[in-house]
Amino acid sequence: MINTFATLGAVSQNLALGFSLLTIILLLFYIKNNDSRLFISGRRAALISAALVVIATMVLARELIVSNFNLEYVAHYTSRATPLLYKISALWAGQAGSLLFWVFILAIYVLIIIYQNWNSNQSLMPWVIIIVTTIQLFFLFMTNFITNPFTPVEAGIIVADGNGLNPLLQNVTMAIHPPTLYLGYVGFAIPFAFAMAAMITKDSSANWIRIVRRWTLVTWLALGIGILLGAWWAYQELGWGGYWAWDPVENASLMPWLTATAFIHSIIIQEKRDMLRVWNMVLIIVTFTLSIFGTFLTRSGIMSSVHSFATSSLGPLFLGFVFLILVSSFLLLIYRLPLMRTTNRIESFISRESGFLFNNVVFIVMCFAVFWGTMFPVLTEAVRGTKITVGAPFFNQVNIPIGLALLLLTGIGPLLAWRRTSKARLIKQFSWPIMISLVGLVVLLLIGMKGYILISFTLAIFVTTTILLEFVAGIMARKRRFGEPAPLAFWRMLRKNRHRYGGYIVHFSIVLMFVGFTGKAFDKEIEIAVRAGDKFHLDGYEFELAKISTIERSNHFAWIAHLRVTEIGAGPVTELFPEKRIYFHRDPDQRKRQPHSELDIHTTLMQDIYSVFSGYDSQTESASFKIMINPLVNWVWIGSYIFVIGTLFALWPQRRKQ
Amino acid sequence: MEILLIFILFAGSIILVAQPLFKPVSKATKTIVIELKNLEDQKLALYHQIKQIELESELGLLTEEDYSSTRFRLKTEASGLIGQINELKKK
Repeated sequence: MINTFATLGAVSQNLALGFSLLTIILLLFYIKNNDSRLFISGRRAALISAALVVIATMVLARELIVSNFNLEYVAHYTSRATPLLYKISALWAGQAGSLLFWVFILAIYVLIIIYQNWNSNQSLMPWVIIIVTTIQLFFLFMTNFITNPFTPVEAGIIVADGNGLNPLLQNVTMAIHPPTLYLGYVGFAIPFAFAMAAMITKDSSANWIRIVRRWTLVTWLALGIGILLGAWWAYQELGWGGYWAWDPVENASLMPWLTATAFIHSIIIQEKRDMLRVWNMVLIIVTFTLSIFGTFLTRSGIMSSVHSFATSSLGPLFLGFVFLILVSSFLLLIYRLPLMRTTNRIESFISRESGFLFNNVVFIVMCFAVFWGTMFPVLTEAVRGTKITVGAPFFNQVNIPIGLALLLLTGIGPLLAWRRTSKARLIKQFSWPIMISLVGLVVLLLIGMKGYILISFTLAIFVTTTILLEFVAGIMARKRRFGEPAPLAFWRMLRKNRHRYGGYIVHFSIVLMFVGFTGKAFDKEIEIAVRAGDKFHLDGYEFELAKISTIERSNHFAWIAHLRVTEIGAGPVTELFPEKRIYFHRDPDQRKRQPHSELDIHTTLMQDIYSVFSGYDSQTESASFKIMINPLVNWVWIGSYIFVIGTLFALWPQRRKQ
Repeated sequence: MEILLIFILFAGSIILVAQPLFKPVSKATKTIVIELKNLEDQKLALYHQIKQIELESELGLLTEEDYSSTRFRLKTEASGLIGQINELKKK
């Protein structure tokens, strides 16, 4: 027996499905008959459908908070002891809830685009609404008929307490990581819908690009933040000392981000030079398809992953939907090809256009390499019956050179002129960055760097120099033109060209991240079992296990190690308190108790001292630890902050004088 | 209680969706307002593009010849839009 609220949720979800269908029918009739009343009616149906999805989601969140264990979903993913934050985050912890949450985000986006385009883009909007509603319909079909979050527990069963949330998910970062990732995945539905609408209505101009540019950036930022939060969570929570393992679910989020990055760059060419119309269509189709594919990889259970917290039989449905999107979009594109052709061509190999094109090719090659490595186990299993796993070494071997090529292009691209770059300009633009990079190269060689590390640091110097020189050139241009003092010129230059300089800030953040990635080559680690009072050494540091204490908290029991860290010859550095926890420790069924290592990290700009309390033997009082020294890792996170700042700066609305 | 709730939700939504179908066809003035807003937006986007190419020319990313031709094309496009805006305003 479920309560009134749960009924409201279930009914709202049913009605949302019905109103989505109604939206499509009304708008198709509007397109056929051109009667504006049908458009207004269809738009209202879309708004109501979105509102009903919001109601259903809010109801499920409420049931999770009040622990209504009469619902299977609530009983499965929460318990009375689950803290409030994690009761809310349980909304996207399981399959049924996460799919409803997917539609919830899409519904919010639908409300926003309808509001934003209430009185504009009237030729595109009916098709845009039809396309996003069709996507919504697919997910609502699944939440209504395949995996319903409002399914009651079996009749006659009374659940006194729920199972509780997986301890790995009881982490603040993990509470916000999936929503940001979903904001990205779902968000690509909007530029995709506008692109399809433009093709259907035979609008071959760059109008749709102008409309979706901001949307794409917001979505790209959200997906980027989601990926970075996932990396941060893996580093802070999983205890293996790294942040990126080329896990299938990580890869699933990276692939659409890579193609979206290519799209963000190539739409600039369509806006400026009316080129790459077809290519941009291909990119947005692939990006959106990869977003759905990412959800499929996470939710289907086809891949084993540390990030896969739900498995299911949704695979064939998702795969069918992905196939449908790809086939219908590409057929439409082929049908509209004559309309999409432009007369403009790339005039020179050394031009801004070819710089962007190379960048696009490299992004796509990287995406394909990641896709191939991710899907290889599935393909081998399908073809040969045995699963051949592709590990991190394959991804690193392939993607490190591709990544470095991208870094190089980040430096070269902005210095090239549109159409063609003269020899004089080439010399003028590149002489300083090359000279400074060569000096850096010599210094790095002298301190013993070699191979990819040497290339990566040299390229970091090169790109940083090009970015700085671009800022200087901008300031000088304003000083020449308006006679402004440098600080004022700098401020106005930034304010009046947010896209350009926001982009450069993002490029700089990528440089910092590459510095952090390169630091991985210098990692040191030790795994050791010690007792209180014992000491051990790693990379010039002495670690002493001072004591082990215990504590019982609301949802777990913990052993807390007290490690004193001293730099040999320099003195005390820090004290670390990694924990070994047992979740559901009060459960009489021993099999339900879940161990978890809560690590502790000492962070500086140069390195992290990373401690994991792996296990404790109370009989011998012996504690096992994994200690790592991870150089430069902090620059990945600093780069991440700057990435967000740069993108927000580029996104910030620019005041336009009438 | 639950049935009443479902009925209210369903009936309310249907009324909201169906209501515009019983109204007379909307007046042309609204279409003009929408069209005007679209044209104004396009005009502002063109002005912004002109500002951008000015900077790119200053930075040496556009040759003098490319700058002049692009500026001329954008200005012509903007003039056309201004003409259309004025026509619509007269209506």
